[in-house]
Amino acid sequence: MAPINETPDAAVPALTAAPTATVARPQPGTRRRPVRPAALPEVLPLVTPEPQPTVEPSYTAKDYRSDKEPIWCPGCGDFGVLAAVTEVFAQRHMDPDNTVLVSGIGCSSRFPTFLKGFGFHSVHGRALPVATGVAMANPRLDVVVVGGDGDGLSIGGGHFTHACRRNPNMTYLMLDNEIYGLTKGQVSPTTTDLSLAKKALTTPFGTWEWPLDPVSLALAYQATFVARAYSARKQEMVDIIDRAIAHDGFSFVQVISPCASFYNSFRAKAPQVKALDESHDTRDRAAATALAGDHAAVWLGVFYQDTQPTLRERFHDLGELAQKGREHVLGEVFAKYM
Amino acid sequence: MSDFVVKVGGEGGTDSPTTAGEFMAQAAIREGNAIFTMRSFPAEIRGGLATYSTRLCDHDVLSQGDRPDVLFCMNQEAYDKLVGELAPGGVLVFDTDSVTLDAGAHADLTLYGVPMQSLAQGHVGEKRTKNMVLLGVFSALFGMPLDTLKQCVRDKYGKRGEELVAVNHRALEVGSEFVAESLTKTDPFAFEPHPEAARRQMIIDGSQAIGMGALAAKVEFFAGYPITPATDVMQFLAEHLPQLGGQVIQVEDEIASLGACLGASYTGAKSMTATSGPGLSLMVELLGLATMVELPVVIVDVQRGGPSTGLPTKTENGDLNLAALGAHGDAPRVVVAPANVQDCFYDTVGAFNLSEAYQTPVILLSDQSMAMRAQAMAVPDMDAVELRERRIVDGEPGPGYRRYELTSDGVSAVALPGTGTRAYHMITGLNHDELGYPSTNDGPLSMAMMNKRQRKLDAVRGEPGWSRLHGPDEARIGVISWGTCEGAVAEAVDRLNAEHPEAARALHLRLVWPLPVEEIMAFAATVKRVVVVELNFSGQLNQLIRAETLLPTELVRKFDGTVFTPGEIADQLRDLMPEPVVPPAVPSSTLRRRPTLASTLAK
Repeated sequence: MAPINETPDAAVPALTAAPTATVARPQPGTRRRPVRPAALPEVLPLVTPEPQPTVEPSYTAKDYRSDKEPIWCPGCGDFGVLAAVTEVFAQRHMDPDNTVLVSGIGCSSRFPTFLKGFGFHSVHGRALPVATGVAMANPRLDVVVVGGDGDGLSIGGGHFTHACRRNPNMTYLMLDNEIYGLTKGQVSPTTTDLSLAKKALTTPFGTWEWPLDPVSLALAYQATFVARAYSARKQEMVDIIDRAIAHDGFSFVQVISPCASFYNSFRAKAPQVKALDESHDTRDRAAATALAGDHAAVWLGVFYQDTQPTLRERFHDLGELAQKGREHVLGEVFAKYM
Repeated sequence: MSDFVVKVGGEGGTDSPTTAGEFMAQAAIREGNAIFTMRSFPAEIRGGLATYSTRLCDHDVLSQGDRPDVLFCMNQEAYDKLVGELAPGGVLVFDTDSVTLDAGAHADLTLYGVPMQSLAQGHVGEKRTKNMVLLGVFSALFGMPLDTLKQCVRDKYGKRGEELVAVNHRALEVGSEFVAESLTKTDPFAFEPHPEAARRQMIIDGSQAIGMGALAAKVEFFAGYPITPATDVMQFLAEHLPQLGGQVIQVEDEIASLGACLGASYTGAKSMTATSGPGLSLMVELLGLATMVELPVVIVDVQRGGPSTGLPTKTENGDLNLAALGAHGDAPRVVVAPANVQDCFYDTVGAFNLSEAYQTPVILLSDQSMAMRAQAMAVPDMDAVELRERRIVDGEPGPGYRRYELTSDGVSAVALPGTGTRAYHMITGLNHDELGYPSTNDGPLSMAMMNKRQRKLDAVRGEPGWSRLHGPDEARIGVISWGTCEGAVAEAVDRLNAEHPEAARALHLRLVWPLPVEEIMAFAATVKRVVVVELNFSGQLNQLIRAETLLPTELVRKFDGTVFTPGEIADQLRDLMPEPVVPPAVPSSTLRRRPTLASTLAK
């Protein structure tokens, strides 16, 4: 027998008089803000109406697109990432009113323009500090940072370290095309193909600099969620980004997203990428680090995930304000210096 | 009337002359006197010469004074470097255990030798109490009630145990008894206690006052990176802001500081960072972003000597150019500059008010001298502190919400994320349309947006209450100053007027950018010659005033890392006193939308 205070859902009478024939498709985000009736009606309807059909809100990815068309070149990997992100937003019923996209400068940093929500297109390399401020000041917001490899590992490299170790609750998608595209093709910190590098404008004799691996760095910097996806494998990318957004803390996803104009590596990457084996233990940082450094393949999937207190959780409200009131606490501060 | 300057010098971190000076200042306040303190210390953590000077005055005090009248030397270095500063007829009190006097010198000084080291070690049994022995000597020689000093010591150390209080009390007594037994007072300086005039006041430095001002303005978010001499602001807020529900975070550099503040401000939080010149240099790109996306933020720059690493523990008011104009392109922002510790509180509130009301970054220029000097300040009446808030979209504005609506005052209402407005939009450092979307190919729109941002400055220019006048209504010399110089200028002006009636008057600006041009022109019309006094090499305010008003100003400057004394300013003003200068006629076309010199003078 069910406990008496637990009523099966079916027995709760619907509050509307009768089910309406057509159910308006809820707008994105409405599911997150359930509207409660002010009070139950005192007299229940005599006839229990038919229970409303359970309608899974049919959000589509399109609902999360703004009316701006991407400015990317035809064939750019970023189109695939945009499609995946909107699909993840749709399946997670993300509320655009609560979603903040933060970016720096670069082709991929134009991302916020094409999404419905609140966007902050900042300056080159500084998306992570800006996003950290957003996440700290309002922890109820869903914060997603999008940027490129140059933005995140070159000019903004110093911030990547500290965002990882600080664990703010946000998702960072690094759209890695191994090139500076917006400035028409210069080597980036992740450029791997040294022969291609010779075609880059500022390195006509090639580059001697070892490419950085974003996944290895994120693991070394103690990020609590580290993954890699590939722009040409959409469903896998959707699953990974979905898990990244669901993660409580700093989730990092390197999305290999080749540049169609200046460093088209789709053909080169295709045979290299392989999904991580399901047996990989995502709590094993050492194993994740070994896989990240494995030159036999470019592994895709979630390398590592663990649960740590987020940055905001470590800032406790001391509660004194609620007890004593603002003016009183301020008075105490003044008194301390008398 | 008593008014004299006491300076204590010794080894930083060992002799702790600063602690002695702080107790002296605190006791003086409790005895109804006014104080003006100055601290100086080397860039190294331990060792080196540290000094603390206090002007003790039983009436209002404007500046630190000219030269020390009484000097306490706790070691040889203090004696070697400081004895030359003593005013003629001054008093030298020295530690006979560690100071050897130059033979035959100092005929014009009163000398008191005190074996501070051996009194501390032998009679108190704790050599670290040397500074307390010194205070005991000060008490007996100059008439500071010993009980008041003892109470100050108890208030500070009481929490750390009776033993610590007792040993410090003993040291005070040992110093005082030594004077009674071994010295005969022959100098004229005497402290005059007025306990009946004592008010309960806070004793705080400029950085603490900035922190308190931020709390009063309801700051919610602070991000910063340690840098001398600005770190004290972050330390103060780290201790107190969480109690008021806000957050303080130390980030990886100054770029991240301002970046995080802009992110927090984007959500509607009142945000602030504090740094010094090198940090402000790093922030310049994000400062332009703040102007472009029209986000409020308060940036405190506790100025030190520049350029580069410069003089980290010395003062200069040399960051005005960077604060007002440091940007690529034209990036209007507001710069305010407090003149004293009390201003540090109220002008921080004012900085937040301007920032939120005009949706613009505001830079508050404090400096090392203000940050390091303790001053007495009445507890602020919070009911009288007015707060201004950001223009926020309430409810759902519907589709077509224009974040950057072109309004007459340049300010447009903000829809904040997560507040149910559903006014989705983006902000960007790219030139943008009224909706906020990038627009880089529309000349008229680019001009309209630039004009919108600049319009805000026109309104700020007319904000009242950001300047102070001193002296008669008309005078031969009109001094314009900013930053830490105000007190010394006022005292110099008083001296000149005592010599010749209507010799000088002063206008002190606390809103230094945009320049209050009309106010400056009106002031200039009351004087024969305008002199700008400031603490930097090139005369940065002077150049801005000349550029904006075409007034033929003169410059009095100093850039040795220390503040002006009233005497230094008075001397230079006397040299500039001669014949009145007739300003040249100025073509009116060069003054856009501002009164011409001729029209102002005609009023």
